[in-house]
Amino acid sequence: MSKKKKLSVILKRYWPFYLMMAPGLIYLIINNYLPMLGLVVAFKKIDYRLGIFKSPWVGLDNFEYLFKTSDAWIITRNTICYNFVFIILGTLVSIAVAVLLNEIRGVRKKKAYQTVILIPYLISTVVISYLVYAFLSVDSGFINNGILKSLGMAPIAWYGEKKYWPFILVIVQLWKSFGYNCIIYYATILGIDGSLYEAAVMDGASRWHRIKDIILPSLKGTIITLTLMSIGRIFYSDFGLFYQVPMNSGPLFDVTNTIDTYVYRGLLQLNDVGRASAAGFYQSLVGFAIVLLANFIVRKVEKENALF
Amino acid sequence: MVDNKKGFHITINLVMIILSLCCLLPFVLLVVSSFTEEAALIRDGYSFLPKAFSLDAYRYIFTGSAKILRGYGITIFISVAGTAAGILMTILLAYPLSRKELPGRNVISFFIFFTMLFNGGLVPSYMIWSNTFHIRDTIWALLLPNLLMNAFNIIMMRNYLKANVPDEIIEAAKIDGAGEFKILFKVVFPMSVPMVATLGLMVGLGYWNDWQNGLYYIAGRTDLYSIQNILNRMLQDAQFIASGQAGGNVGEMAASLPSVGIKMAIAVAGILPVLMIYPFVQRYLVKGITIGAVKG
Amino acid sequence: MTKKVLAVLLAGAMTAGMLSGCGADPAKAENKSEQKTEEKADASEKDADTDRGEKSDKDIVTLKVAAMAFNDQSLVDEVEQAANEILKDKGVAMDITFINIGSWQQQTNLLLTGGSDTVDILPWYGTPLATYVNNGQALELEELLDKYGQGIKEEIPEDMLELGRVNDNIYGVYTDREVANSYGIWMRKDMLEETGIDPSTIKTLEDCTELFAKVKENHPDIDILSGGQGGTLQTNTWGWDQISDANNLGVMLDNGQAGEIVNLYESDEYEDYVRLMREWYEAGYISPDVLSKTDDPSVVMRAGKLFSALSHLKPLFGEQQERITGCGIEVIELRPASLQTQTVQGMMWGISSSTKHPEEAMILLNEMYTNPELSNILINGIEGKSYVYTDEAKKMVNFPEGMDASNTPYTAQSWIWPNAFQTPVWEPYPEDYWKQIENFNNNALHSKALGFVPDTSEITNEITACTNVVAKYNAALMAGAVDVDENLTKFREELKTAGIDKIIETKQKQYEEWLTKQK
Repeated sequence: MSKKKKLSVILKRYWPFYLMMAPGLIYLIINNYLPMLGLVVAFKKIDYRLGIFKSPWVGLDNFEYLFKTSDAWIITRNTICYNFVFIILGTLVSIAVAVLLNEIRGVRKKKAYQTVILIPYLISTVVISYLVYAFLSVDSGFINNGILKSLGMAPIAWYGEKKYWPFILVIVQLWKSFGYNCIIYYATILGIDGSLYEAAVMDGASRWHRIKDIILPSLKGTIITLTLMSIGRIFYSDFGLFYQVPMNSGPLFDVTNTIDTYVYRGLLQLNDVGRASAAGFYQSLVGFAIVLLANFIVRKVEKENALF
Repeated sequence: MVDNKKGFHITINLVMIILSLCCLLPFVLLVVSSFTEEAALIRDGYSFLPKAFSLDAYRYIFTGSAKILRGYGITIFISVAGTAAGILMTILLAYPLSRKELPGRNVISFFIFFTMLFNGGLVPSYMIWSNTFHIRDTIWALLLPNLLMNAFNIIMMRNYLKANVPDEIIEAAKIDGAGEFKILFKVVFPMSVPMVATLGLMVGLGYWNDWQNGLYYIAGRTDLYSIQNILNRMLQDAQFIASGQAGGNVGEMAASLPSVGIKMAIAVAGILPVLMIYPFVQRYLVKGITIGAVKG
Repeated sequence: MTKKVLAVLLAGAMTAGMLSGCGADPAKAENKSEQKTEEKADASEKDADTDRGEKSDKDIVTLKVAAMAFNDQSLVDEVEQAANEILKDKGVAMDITFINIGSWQQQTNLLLTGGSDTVDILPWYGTPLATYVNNGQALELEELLDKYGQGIKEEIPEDMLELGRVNDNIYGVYTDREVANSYGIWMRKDMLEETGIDPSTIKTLEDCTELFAKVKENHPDIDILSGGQGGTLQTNTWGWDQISDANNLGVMLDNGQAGEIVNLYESDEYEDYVRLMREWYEAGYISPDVLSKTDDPSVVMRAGKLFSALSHLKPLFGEQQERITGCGIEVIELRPASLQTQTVQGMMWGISSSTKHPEEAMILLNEMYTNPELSNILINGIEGKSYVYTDEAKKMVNFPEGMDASNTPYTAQSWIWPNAFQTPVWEPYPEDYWKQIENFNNNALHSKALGFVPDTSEITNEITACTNVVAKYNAALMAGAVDVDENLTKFREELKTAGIDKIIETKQKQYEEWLTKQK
């Protein structure tokens, strides 16, 4: 069969599928792929008068500042370590809560819990930073003022002591995001074939066994997918979490400075589009390489669950 | 056995209650602070039981020249319209990819996933949406860029369909003479209700909470501002002044800008409608989810 | 609904196809508009000789004007109408877009990417003028000023006009406002009087220590000292010329009189300042929350929890703060008023390099700078709707009845629009308010580097690295929140590693070259 003929056969047979996918794919082309042409900016000295494509090339000059600094190690370490912890703890907590939610009897209670755990996800990071401040402020914060004081303990200058912040940031991130992931896992659990479950109950399987033998295996695909997707962004960090929540407080930089905050601070005044996109390009590229590797491994072990 | 079961339920309820409190208490502090008198906030600090109540913060928000009610209207419109269109496009794209026989599905999956990793940045996106499609200062500006669909949702949907729609059902429908579109809407869609409901909630919340599209693509037509844009404008102005970049020319403005209490009130004004609507929406969600689960 | 979306998307796909060849497009458009510009330049040169009053409506060119705003400027349509009525016989009209000040930087950068006529005239604000120029966002004005900006040239003294110069051309036009800055401390008068200390004996920051001690004794529960706007104690400058860098990477000390560019963070002046702050912090004069506080000091003072704050000063600053805080205020100037490049260049009107109508844009700018009637409309809005005259001579204005700053449909912003000194004064300021500001500006000490703008393109890597180091240490040191001995040493070392010496060397060399050019 010649290649050409094969293509026409495919189209004849599967055209409804391609037609279904067309709107979505066109949207992704417009919204995501066309702007990617702009990545050339990372290799140019932008001059708006000439436009993006006519601006002069500068090779890798725009990338230099990311590596020629003594902070390069700190910001890379922080970015990766936090993301690593977020991925692991986030997954564990979300799954645990989703399983618990599934065990709750009574629609009303379920609804109430579902609503409440989503609240933190609804609050924007800027506001979260005010909330954290409401708890941690030295003078007027709830922890110092309401708790430590009544226990007779000395107030803590939270925004000046970096040793607390790895924990604070992890807690804030978990608090903010576990509801969202939990709902996704919960939806997957709800989708589990009811008959499987019934059969297990009939067999007299204990609750723990039902969870271990039915629920967790069925979540595997979702866990792998979510993890692979987070790995792709392992070089990125939530700007609000690392900049606004610690109130941009200098003494905390050793544990709060990430690639994104470093770039933001460095370029705030220079307004240099070239260097900004160089940073983004670098972050994406590393994430891409890691995901390719991870996906390759997943493919080897379990083809079904690979992303692509 | 019965006792054991009872104990188990009490335990998990207890865990969930503690967890809920963790989520709820900071939010309660947020609400209480927004009702606390500004001077008391500064003098006595943050507290769940403030010494002086005040509605000043809400008065500031609702009597300002900004059109709050219109903002709520716009937000509701874009949330509903955007979610409907986005979910439809997502399932249309995800369903074929879940079918094992589709040629090129891995390439297309990769094509979709790739958009999660690389993006051209704000300026190129702006040039395409604003200068090529001219959505600047139109309602499309709030609907189209970024929020309509994303790789994450497509992949979640694809995986769900892959795992929960057995090939036999589709084959059976085919034997009955149903076309692909009919299969999607009559057979697959009803089976995917839990995921549709979940992703719909996420997309809807994305639209509800979004302020970036308004910030980038709405320049002059502030009558198109969504509620988040109006509230965020207050926050942004305050932050800008606080950053000291404005120099010495804005002293009088600085003092009239929102204080902490007002910022808290702003947050509450953005969230409260969602929390009020959510239980009603959820009733249908839960119903849909149970039906979907039973059918599966 | 879905159909419509699909239709849009399909149409989009088609346009996208065209766009794939967009590499050539902007340049082509550029060439075209350049040609047109030349033709038009000739045409309008002839035009300039004939009477402009004869222009018909058809010839009127509408220019997009962007400006900052705080609240909804809902009166904007009427303001445009009134302004265009005045501009009619000049052949131009304005279409004003108000952008809220917090998103100004972001939005203008997007608008300035060009494309479909987004903005023609705007104030260069938020980002340093030199950055706008470096990115090719600002249009050269020198030639246009000669041709169409005669009014501006008469109105603004030449040396002030020269302050809009970056490299070889002028890119921004000076506006009348409080451009000079003096620095000092303002405090609650009642608490000051309790101490019995005569404010005239306080000449330097060090002199405040005794005063603070006494106030702390009388009022142990309040904060004694807070910073400027936003409450953090880091004032960007305390009497040194920042040489157009908010992070002080290379400054001219002694109010810009030292004559050479040095590393501020190595200087005694800086060390003395941070040591004093540390002393005050440890004595409990400064709030332990200083690093994370965002409340404006006037708000905290109004709540009764603050004695004094450091700030930029300007004439009648005390009266302004009295109105805001509701307390009696004493102001003490500690550093004299000085004029520096970056404060002047911090807000200048200019023309976008992507404009298709550079001549008309300059004609409009010229009107904005010379027509007091137009300025009055742009600054204050419409009589009876956003302001009313309160005296016969129409020199004083106030809000119409039942209106105040929180519900006005048009917030007056005299510091943004040009020519403010020719417009009426808002009550309760005195009638000679503008005169006082003008004198304040005129009497300010001129920095020796006034007019000098460094070219940072060769030292960008060092600047991004140093900026991060400064962010890490400077705010905390200047607030006294961290130990000086330990942190100042580390700070200086890290700056050295980040390459501050190269930055200062480069700037000093450029400064010397600039000096020789001045002679």
